Amino acid sequence: MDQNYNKNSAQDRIDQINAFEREVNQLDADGVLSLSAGQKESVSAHHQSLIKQLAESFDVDISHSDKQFSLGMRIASFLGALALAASVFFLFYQFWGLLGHFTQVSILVLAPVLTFIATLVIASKESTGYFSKLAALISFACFVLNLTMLGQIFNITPSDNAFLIWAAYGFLLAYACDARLLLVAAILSIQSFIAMRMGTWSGMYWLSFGERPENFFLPSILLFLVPVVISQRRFTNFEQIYRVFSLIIFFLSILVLSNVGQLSRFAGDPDFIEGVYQSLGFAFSAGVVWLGIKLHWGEVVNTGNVFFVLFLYTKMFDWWWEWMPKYLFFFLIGLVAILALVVLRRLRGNQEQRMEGVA
Amino acid sequence: MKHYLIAGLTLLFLTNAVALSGVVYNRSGEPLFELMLSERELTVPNYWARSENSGLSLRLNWRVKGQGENKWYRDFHLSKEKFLSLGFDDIEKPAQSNWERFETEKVVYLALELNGPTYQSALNKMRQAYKNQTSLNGSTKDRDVITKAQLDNFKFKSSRLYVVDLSDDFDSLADKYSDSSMYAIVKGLVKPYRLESGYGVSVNTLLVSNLSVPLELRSQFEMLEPSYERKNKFNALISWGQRLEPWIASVELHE
Repeated sequence: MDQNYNKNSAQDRIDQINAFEREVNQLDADGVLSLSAGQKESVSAHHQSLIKQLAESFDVDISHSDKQFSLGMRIASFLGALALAASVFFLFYQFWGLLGHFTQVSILVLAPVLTFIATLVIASKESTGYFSKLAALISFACFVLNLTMLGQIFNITPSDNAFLIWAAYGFLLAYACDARLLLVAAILSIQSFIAMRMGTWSGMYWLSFGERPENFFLPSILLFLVPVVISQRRFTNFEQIYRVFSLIIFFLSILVLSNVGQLSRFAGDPDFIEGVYQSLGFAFSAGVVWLGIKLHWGEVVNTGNVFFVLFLYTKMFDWWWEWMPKYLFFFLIGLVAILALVVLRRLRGNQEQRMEGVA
Repeated sequence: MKHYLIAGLTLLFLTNAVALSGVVYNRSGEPLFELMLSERELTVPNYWARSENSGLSLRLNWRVKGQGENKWYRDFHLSKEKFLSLGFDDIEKPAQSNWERFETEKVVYLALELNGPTYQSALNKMRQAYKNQTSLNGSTKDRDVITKAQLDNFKFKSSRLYVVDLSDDFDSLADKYSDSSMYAIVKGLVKPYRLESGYGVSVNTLLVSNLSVPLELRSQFEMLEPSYERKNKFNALISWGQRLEPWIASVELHE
């Protein structure tokens, strides 16, 4: 079997095989193409062997009903993990005041260690990954509780270094268990830490990092480039998560600055600053859509589209909300949406014509 | 998996070792400052024993020099030289409104004074104002009226802990306020401003203003009534260590 398969490509291959079988049957029924019995048997044997190998190596859905079950399991796993993580916090809060320092510290230190070991043991024995991801999230919650509660118990001065440590642990667990949720937590933590540290270097208190949204630009760009520099092929959707969350933080920062120029680190007329960031918002979101189309990054195209629309709607709100009757305002919003639909359909039509020309 | 195991365990143990060694260092040697605070300076949350959070923390209750009875007003007026010495950039023109320019907070060292000249001066001022007012027989404007209840509150219940000075240099403050039984130098967050009348900072918060009560001292607080019914009082010795992080060293109830 090709060693370059990961979970996503394995699932794509199986979906392709199922689609192929359906199409061959349809072509046979339509009298367009009929494979001989020998050919059918040979193709079927090859496909069955491949599906068996892929199913043994990855947690893939072989049929449509498998997909539905998998979706249900993912939802249950996600909700269960969140609930268990919350229960860890509340359990400790319920009893910590009744314990001496030594007991408190012992529990706080041992909880993440033991859950971490349990996570790795489960991951090594389990092929589907649902239980190991659940254990990993609990371990992460225990570690967050570890540092937070040590800070409270001993009245330690809060520090931004905690975010760096949490990010490191989140990345470790995410890559160990192929856990997307923990990757998201790690990305948000490391972005926060970099933004906080940039804020500190410019003379402000680290917790006020949100008051200067420009602090998020550099970490967003760096994290967007991670999958370019380090291959994420072996992990499920990690590339997409890096790109999407980097773009979300980047564009949210621009969106805030385009409405509240006073938060900029640049001294100047807030209206001018807002105008600049509004222009940048439109330019960057359009640029991101172009980039996504060029490189076939669907999630990047969608994110760019969402923020382009957001910038457009906030601009229209600025222009019209105060003086225009509300029915007319929403009517115009609807017209703009229809115009966008027409433009996108035309662009798609042009794209299809170009592809036919190439063929 | 082995690499993940080693990396993870190293991270977990190293992090806790660093955090706990910081605590040990902070509490090593003699405390830098020790203040005997009372229920006036340490707020006990009401009905904490019934809460789902079994931990108990006391909140430091403090004022700023010149604050008066208006508890929420924590502005500290400064000369331009002092303002710039804190490391702030000059604010070229006074803000017309809070939204003209959003300044960000900075950590500085604050000098806390307990039941010292600042509190006594504020109390004397209030007594004098009350005395003058009663002799004027109600000609004082409503908002400036000081009632007997307010005066008594200031004498017996309000915090006597004041922020009296600030600097970005610890040693200069520690030298200036060297009586460690009346003064403590702590870290706090301030936000700069400039008005027509001059420069200043708002003292927003102390970096550590909640003090966790250890198990061995908890039983003392279990005997306290809720604050509005409280007749008994307490004194708590608060120590600040090498990293300026405080802890409750002892607690004593009294009537």
